[in-house]
Amino acid sequence: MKGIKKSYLIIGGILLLIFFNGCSSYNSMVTKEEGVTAQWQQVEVAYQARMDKTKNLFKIVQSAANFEKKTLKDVIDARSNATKIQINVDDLTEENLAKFQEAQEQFGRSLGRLMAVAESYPDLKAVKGFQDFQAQYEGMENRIATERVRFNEMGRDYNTYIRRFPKNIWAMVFSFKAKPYFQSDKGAENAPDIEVLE
Amino acid sequence: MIRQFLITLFVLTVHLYGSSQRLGIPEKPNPPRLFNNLSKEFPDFVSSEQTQILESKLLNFEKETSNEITVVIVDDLKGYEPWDFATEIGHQWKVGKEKEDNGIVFLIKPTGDAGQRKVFIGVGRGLEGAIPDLTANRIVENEVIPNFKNGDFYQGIDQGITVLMQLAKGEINKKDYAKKGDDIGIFGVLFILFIIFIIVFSIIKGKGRGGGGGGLGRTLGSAAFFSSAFSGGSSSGGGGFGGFGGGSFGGGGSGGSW
Repeated sequence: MKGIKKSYLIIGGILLLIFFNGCSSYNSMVTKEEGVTAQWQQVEVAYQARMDKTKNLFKIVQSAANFEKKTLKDVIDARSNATKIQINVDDLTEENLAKFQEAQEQFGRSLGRLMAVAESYPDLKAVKGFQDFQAQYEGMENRIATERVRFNEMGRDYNTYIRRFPKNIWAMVFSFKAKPYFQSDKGAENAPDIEVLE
Repeated sequence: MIRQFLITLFVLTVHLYGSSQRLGIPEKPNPPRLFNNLSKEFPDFVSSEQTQILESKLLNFEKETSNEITVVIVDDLKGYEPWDFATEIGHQWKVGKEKEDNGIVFLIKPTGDAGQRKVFIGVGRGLEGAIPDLTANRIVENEVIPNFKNGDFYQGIDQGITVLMQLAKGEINKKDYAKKGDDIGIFGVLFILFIIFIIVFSIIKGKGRGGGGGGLGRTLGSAAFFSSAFSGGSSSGGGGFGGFGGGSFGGGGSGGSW
């Protein structure tokens, strides 16, 4: 009699334990996933800031006499292309992120080229609007880099959490899926470095 | 067998609770300080007397307005760009209050030849409006670098933080900013229940086995350890700096070299 009672207790205890472990796992996964989502919004804000701030830049550059047409056209095209690719947080898949990154990087690279080319246009460099943009340009890129790195960190934290045993079982039960990462910038080595060109 | 399972579970839960961090960023100062000279090459970048003055100036400012400005002097940026290093310090130390994100990291790397010595003023998200990159850049160029070039390091820091204080105060000014109590949340509650359960369990088990030695003592000990870890408050003593408040950084700010 006493033996049966004890084994009930143990089984009950284990079930309780599993229940608590499941609850806490679920909550942690939600928290971590929310972290990734929130960070994705920061990434979008940083990229959007670059979109917004370049709008004025184009007007200024266009007004500058005989500015290299092709360089400017490339940036404008790349920008409008990048504007089209937006990702809903729920569709944050590897494929979508790769597309988004590709478009944004193309825009970033062509913008970098434009800024480098502008160095040889003293008239343009004298325009106040251009100087303001130049001052913000570095910070803009820094913010994008910061948010991207952090997105990968949050993603890695979340992915590690849901992939490890025994959490992976709970992740499967509650269908938590792995998040994609930003790949390191493919064109980074070729991107014009403004400081060097100066 | 069950005991092993429990311990494994315990260790796993605790282990997975940790988070990843980028390498090479200095540890948060302990005890917490606002003026941090971590340089081995320039331990007297400013004199100990001046260190005291700057520390108390920063501390008073934090007490008066809640804005947290920290000065960090390092020998090596570990391969990071200055902006990245300063942002990471702000991020990992959590400089600034949690709700305001009103931290500033004043980073100085005084080693190397002329042109290699770096300054960067990293601005927390909440102060980016009051101190945009361009303004941070002006402060570095006008207040900090000229003094540093003359070897007036104290002057450079003091004038720099004075301007930063005026600007930050214009944006966020909260005297006696109440430190938010640590909210342990549902996870914490469950964790505590879990611990209680283990204690009860080991009592039952201990009885069953007829006084099975130190089992209970050990679990009680670890339970005490974890519950103290969860209450999480670093009890700050007296008038000193109580620790960074949980602010976040997004890469704002500007710097220069001398």
